[in-house]
Parts: sequence; structure tokens; C-alpha cells
Amino acid sequence: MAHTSFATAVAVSLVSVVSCSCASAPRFLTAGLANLRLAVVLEVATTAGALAGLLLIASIPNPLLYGIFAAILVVSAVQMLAGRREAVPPQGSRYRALDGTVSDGNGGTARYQVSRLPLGVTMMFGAGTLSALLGIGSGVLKIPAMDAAMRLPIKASSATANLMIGVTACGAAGATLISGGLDLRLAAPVVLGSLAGSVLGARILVRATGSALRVVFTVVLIAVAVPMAARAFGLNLGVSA
Amino acid sequence: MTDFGQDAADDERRLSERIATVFRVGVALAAGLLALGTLLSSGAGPGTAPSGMAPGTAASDTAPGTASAAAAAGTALLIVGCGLLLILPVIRLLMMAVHYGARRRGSRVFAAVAVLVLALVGVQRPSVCCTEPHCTGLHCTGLHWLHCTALTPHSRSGSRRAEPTAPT
Repeated sequence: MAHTSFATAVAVSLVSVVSCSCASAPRFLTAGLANLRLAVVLEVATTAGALAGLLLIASIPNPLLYGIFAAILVVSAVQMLAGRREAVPPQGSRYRALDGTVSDGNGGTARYQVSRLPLGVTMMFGAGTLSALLGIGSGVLKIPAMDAAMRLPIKASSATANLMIGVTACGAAGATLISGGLDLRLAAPVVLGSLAGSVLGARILVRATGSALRVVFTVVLIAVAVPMAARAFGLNLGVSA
Repeated sequence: MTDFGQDAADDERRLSERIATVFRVGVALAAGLLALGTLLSSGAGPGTAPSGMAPGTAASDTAPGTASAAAAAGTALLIVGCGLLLILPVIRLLMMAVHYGARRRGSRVFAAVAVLVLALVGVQRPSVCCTEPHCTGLHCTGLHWLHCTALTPHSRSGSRRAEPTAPT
């Protein structure tokens, strides 16, 4: 991908995002980790945000865009590292229809409640907008939004966000396929690799503990935030061009 | 958990399992098609795409007979494989809309939400842009056309779309 054009890279990246989402979704769905109702509600915000982002393309200077993205990632990493201190109240959920269950790691399940839905929806709109502006799936934004704002368990956040990125990306990816803008011979190996990696990743996520996932995700957030911050200041650390 | 809550949870689990089955079959089919398509088109050389086909998918001009037929078949398989993958999230939304639409009144709101998401995806789908820095909007469609011609004409060179990073 190093010597491909920007348009080609975006098209292949979008198809890869959808393939990751589709390949890992069955595992998350059968394990009861992905919250379908919450996903579809939040997808309204992400797809609307993506449309807004489409109209904002070229109106925001790139360094500012990278700076905003890096700042959000750093804040998310700090929140991830700090962990969630506030426990979700056991009763009185305002969004009972969106509540779900998640495996507790001992063969049982634990119920969780969705909190602060308006804040989560607002953050998803922002994630969708940045997704369109930066040409990414923005799972790194959706997971912290669900974890920190809506106080969902990290595994449920990851599985639900994974389901959502497929919908966010499939519209634009379909457009590139129909228009002939997708380099099929480049996309095929990328997609096959993504499929294999996603199946493996889904297996690991289902078995991993929440705290281990939190540490891994913090490392990923920082690893993405550093080159983004560098780009905001005009430095290029060799991230995909 | 009440009986009502238990019923809803069981209902949700059945829907999840149906979607998971569809995704498994779809992904397996797509992977097979993409692998076969890659094998068939690998002998065709880089070339350029014929009119209406994606770049890098043309047959080699050294063996116009069998090689070009294999390349065309390979390209077709790659298109179907990618298309199948891209349609799966849409199928999931359709399944959810049908499932919740057929349930009790409290669940029907999710059917409406799923239809709304489908509509928003549908608005995005025909929106195509060359994404080049000097795009004039001539070949753009949908919202991209509106954006490139009406909203920010002749301004893309100063602040072009950000380069893609690793998809997450």
C-alpha cells in the first residue's frame, strides 16, 4: 500500500474495515457480547456524522484535524488507563430496552445498563464525522465513547463498535466498488488477511479479561495518537502516506 | 429477570444467532471467491483496467485467449466477493428491521431506527468523489458532487482530505 494513491488506499481501507467487522461479528454475536439494539441506535449518529463529515471535507485544515484526533485519542487513553471508577447503578436504568448481558469470564453472564445515551450519541456523531474526514473506521473513538461515556463493559463496547464500523464504512466502500474506484487485485489479499486476523482477534477478545483488553487498547490508542500529534505539528513519522 | 425480560433476551439471542449464521456463510463464500479470483487473475499481469472495470484488473496482452478469459473470470469473482462482503452489513440491518417490525410494539421503534440507518447508508452509497486535491466535482456524484461543486469550489488544493491511517 506504500506506493498507492490516496484514493486507492482509502477504497481498499474501507473494504478492509467492512471485512474486519463481518468476519469477527459472528463470534461476538454468538458469545452475546454485541448489543444489536444499542448498535443500531448509535449507527444513526455515526452515519449522520459521516454525512456531515463528507460535507466538511476540505474545510478543516489537515494539521488541525490531526491535532483534534490526537487530543481525543490521548484523552481516551488516559480514561482507559484510569479505568471506570463509577459503578453503574443496579436499578433505574432509563434505557431498559438497550440494556444487555456480557460474559463475566466464569461461565456466567452479568447484566449491564446503558447510561448517558445522549452523550454517547453525540460522541458517536463526532466519531462518524472524523471517520469521514480522516478515511478511517474510527473504532478507536467509538470504543472509548461507549466505555467512558455510556459506561458499558469494555468487551461489550469492543464487540458493539466492531459491528458498527461495518455499517459506517459499507456505504462509501460500496460506492467505490460500483464506480470502479476499487483496485480489486490489491484489495483481495488485504481483505483475506483482514478476514483471517479478525477471526483470530475475535477469538482472543471473547476469552480475554476486561482489564487485559483495557491495557492493550490503551497501548493502541497511544500508538495511533503519537504519529497523529506529530503530523499536527508538521512531522512525518512514517505512518501510511 | 422477569419472564418478559427473559423472553426479550431469548428473542434477541435468536436474532443474533441468525445474523451470525448469515455472516459466517457470507464471509466464507466471499473468502472463497476472493481466493479463487486472486488465483485466476494472478497470471494476467498488472495491466490497466478495461473500460468499466477497476484498475489493475485487466488481462495480460501476452496471451489474449485463455489468459484473458481467466482474468475476466477472476475479476468477476473478485467483484462478487467484495460485493458480498459489503452487502452483509446491509443484510444485517434488513434482518433487524424485519425482526423488530414483526415484534411487539415496544420493539418496533428499533425497526424504524434500522430503516433510518439503511436510508442514511443509502444516501452515502451513491456519493462518489475522486478524492484528489484538485477535484473540480466533474466526476463526483451525490453529496460529494454538492460538496465539490457548490460548497467548496476550487478550494481543495489548500486543504485536501487527510491521508488514510490504519483502519480501526
